[in-house]
Formats: sequence, structure tokens, C-alpha cells
Amino acid sequence: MMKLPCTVLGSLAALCISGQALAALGGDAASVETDRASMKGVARVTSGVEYSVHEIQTPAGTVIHEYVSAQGKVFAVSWQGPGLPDFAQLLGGYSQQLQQAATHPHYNHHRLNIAAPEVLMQSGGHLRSRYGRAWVPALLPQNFSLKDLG
Amino acid sequence: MHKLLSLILTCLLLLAGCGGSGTTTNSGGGGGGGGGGGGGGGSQVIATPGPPNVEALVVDGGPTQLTTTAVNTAYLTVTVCMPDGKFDNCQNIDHVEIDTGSIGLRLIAGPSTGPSAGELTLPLPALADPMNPSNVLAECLEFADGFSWGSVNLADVSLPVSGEAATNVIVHVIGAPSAGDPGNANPTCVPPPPLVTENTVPSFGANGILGVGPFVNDCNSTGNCDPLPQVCSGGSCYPGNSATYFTCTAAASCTQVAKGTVNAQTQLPNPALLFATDNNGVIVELPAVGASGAAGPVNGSLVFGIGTQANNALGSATKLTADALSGVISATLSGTVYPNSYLDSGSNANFFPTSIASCPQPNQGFLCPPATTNESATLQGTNGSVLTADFSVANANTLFMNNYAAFSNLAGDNTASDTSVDLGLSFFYGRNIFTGFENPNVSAPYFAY
Repeated sequence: MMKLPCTVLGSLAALCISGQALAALGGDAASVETDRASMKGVARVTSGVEYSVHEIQTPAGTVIHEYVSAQGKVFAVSWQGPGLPDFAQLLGGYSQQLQQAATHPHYNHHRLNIAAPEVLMQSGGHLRSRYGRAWVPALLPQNFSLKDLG
Repeated sequence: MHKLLSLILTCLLLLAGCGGSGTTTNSGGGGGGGGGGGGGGGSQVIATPGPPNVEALVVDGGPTQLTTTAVNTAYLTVTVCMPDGKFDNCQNIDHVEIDTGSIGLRLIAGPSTGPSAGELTLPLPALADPMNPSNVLAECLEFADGFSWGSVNLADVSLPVSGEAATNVIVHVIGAPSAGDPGNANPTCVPPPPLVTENTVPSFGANGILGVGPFVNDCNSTGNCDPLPQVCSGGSCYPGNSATYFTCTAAASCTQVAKGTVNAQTQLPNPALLFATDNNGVIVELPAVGASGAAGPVNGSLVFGIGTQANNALGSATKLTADALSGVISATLSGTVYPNSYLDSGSNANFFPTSIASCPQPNQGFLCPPATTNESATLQGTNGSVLTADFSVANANTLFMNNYAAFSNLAGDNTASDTSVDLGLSFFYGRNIFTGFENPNVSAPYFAY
């Protein structure tokens, strides 16, 4: 179990404000603070038994969630807001893999689904709102449902 | 070739429209479970294109320049004219995508030298920066799959079949040389990988896009469109908002506008709101297609106005009021509520959170179930009204084998937003889908079918 300045209450998530920082997808939670600092965001942490959720709100109003496993790895990220987050920082080393897999067989300005060998990304946009997620299947905690990404 | 065909088609449709308000009747039920159209009684009535308010739509493989075929994209021809009120110095732009999920007319600029393959070449005047009249405005538009950069111009716009027209429409000319290189703007309009730059027809998938979504403007319906804090990474920055305006010098040196520069009157408007009449909403009317899809062209209609003419009455359609700020409704699918759902002609499939397997590359955006499955969602508006939304999900790899353009049973995974069901163009076949525009501070937008 990673150390967090939060009380862990069984499987019920506890919420508290924290200076605990975050890492890019696939990164180590110990290397954190980089994302929050880079995005000039405000962070807070929700922690549970199998994983914790780190939330960053950027100055532009985009809310980012980073999911950190008990092993201390960021296994998923999600975003929602008026614009896009800092993809380079958020996707880290998976950026290039996603770019290579981003074939463009059918045009759709409101949706982008990419499946790379080790990482998946889905991005959507409708009217004035943008949202999306990226996750690394191999790093997902056991019994974790993608529906828990929010 | 393409141009000639569309001209002939336009003429035929004009002739067809001369006789008055004719209609075509198709029995519902094909492909995606069918549904009642505006005429009620379980059969869909598609208004015949022609004056005063029905434009011709076509679903086909897209402009000739595309290297890969477009699927489930509905196009129309838009006539763009110099903004002098005369409508005599114009250019017809075919294959403009109709999009009820965005706002504003955006056109791809043709090459500065040499012939155009269908892109805009008419030298529309740029819109001056009201704070600094020697500068002109530009815009960076962030779509979900990429960024489009170009100048902000004025045009008179008419629709060649219906004759609907508006003067002095603010439009986005994507890839216009006057806006310069998107990489030189501050911040840049260069998207972070894996998103791509979409400033040409082959990368954009259309010669333009006509956004007739439920809102008045592309950025802020009632107030200023001030830039949000930019996002920077690795020494490169891009705008923090999906629609961001820039001010450019004559040398195309562009920076984000100062606060208060772009007010509600100087943003890209919903062009359909500017028509003299028939300006409170649109109806997309596409015929049903079979379970294997249709090669295209699939011909349909874009009807302007709701309840303003004999051919656009709400009839037996059920009105689902959407959230005033976000334009969304609620959908319940397999017992889960998705509060941020919507109908969107600009999404080329039905996207919903599902455990059905996605296709392998390159069709990874779509679902590939081993056998066709049926889904049934219940849509609910903020007014409490409900509608059933039935649709089928076929194997996309199988569907794509014939290189067809139109599919009612094409779907994709939307686990990315487990808060939304996005009923895209797949859902529109065999149904007349109403998008009612907002009246800011008075009434919220709505969907109906």
C-alpha cells in the first residue's frame, strides 16, 4: 500500500486535499508532483484499498483524474473540461505508441478511439465539452472495472 | 466530375422542389429498429428538397480528394458569396458535413495558387479585430480528433436548393494562408500527439462543416469568448479552450485575443439561426438503410425550422428538453444512467459504454461483435419526457467489406465517457431527428423524434 496523507477507510474511498502529486501514465507515483506542477493545477486525492485517485483541476477548468495502483503505478488517466489537458505530460512514454497507432481510417471530429499494443485511449468532444481516458490494461488492478474511471 | 454531378443533382432537386411541398414516404423499421418520423403512424415522411426550407443531404464516401472513404457522414452543398448582400459573386462548396454537434460554418481554404479541388477560393474579407482594427481575427478549433486553424471571415451564405440565406455570416476559413502557420501562432494551434492537424480536405474529411447544433455561438452564447489559460508541454503550447480566437497582424503574427475582444456578436454563429424564418431548429431526415448498409449516395433532407411550415411540424415526435448549459439529455442503457447523452449527426456511429469487443486495427474505433446484437436505451429530457432508442450493433469489419458509406448498425465503444451515450448518424437513418435551438435565458435546446 502506498503512503498517502489520507485515511484509508476499507474499500470506501476517503477524500482529502493533498499536496501529493501525480505521475504520467505508467509512471511511478513516487516520482510525482510533476504533473500537478506542470499543469499549475490544484490536486486532491481519493484513496481506496486497491488504488487511489488523484484529481487535478487546471487553470483552464479541465479536471484530470490519475489512477494509481497499490503498486504505485499510474494505470489510467481521464480528463473532462472545456479544452484538452497536457497530453505529453499525462500520457508520458505512451504518447508515441498512441501516435503510431492513430490510424485515421474514417473521419469523425467528435470521437477518437486508439488501441495501441500496450495502451488504449478514447477521446470525445461534443459542443463545448471535451473528455477522454487512456489506460494501460497490463497495469489495471485485479477486479478493476473500466466503468470505475470517472 | 464530382462538381458536375452535384450541379446536375442540385438542378434536379430544384425542379423537384418547384411543384410545391412534395414528400417521400418510406416505411420505417429497416436496419436500426426503425422509428416514426415527423408524419407519425410508424412511417417516415421525408420532406422533398426545395424552397423554402428543405435542403438536400447526401451520405456518400466524401469529397474526391479523400484517400479513405468517409462513413456515415452526411454532406450538403453550401453557396458562399462575397458579403455585399447581392449574392451574385459566389462559389458552391459541395461536401460540407452537416453537424448537429458543433456550431458554425467552417470551410477549407483552397490552394493559394493553382486550381481548387472543391475548396473555397472566393476571397472573403477577414473580420477585423474590434480592439485593433489593423489586425484581423483567426480561430483555433479543437475537435476531439484534431485541431483546425484558420482566419475568421465574413460571407453571405445561401443554400442552393432551399434558397435559405443569411448575410454577413462570420465563418472560419480553415487553412487560410492569411492566418499563417498554426505552429507560429502564440500559443500554437498544433495539437498534442496523438491528435492531428486538420487543415486540408484529406485530413478534415470534408470541404467544410456546417455546425447547426443547439447553441447560438461556437464558444459562448451570451457573453465574451475570452481565451482560457493555455496548456504548455515540452516548450510548445496550445489553447485551453475548444474554441479560441486570435488576433493577427498583416504579417500573420497571431496571438490570443485580449479579454472582451470577441463578444456574443463576433463569434462564429449557428448560421441556421440567421435565416429570416425557419430559424428555430433543424430536422435531419435520412431514409432507413438495410442491415448490410448502403453504398450511397443515400439521399435525405435537412429541414430548417420546427413548426414554422407545413413540412416541419413536430407532429407525433416527442420533445426531450436538454440541459440549457451543456445541451445533454439522460439515457438509460442496461440499467445504467448516462446523464450526459445526446444525438449528434457529426458522430459517425452510436457510441456507448459497452463490453462488446472493439475491432482490431485499423477499425479500432468501432465494435466487432461476433453476431449482431440489439440495444435499447431509454432517453429522458429535463422535461420528464421519455423516448425509446433501439439500435443494432453489427460487426464493423464485416460492414466495411463492401466499402459502403451508410450504416445504421455501426457502433463504437464510449467507455471513455461512462457518462454519455452518443447517438450518431447510425441512429438517424429511418428517423426524422429534430434539434431545437436554445433561446438563451428563455428556453433550453431540445431533441425530438
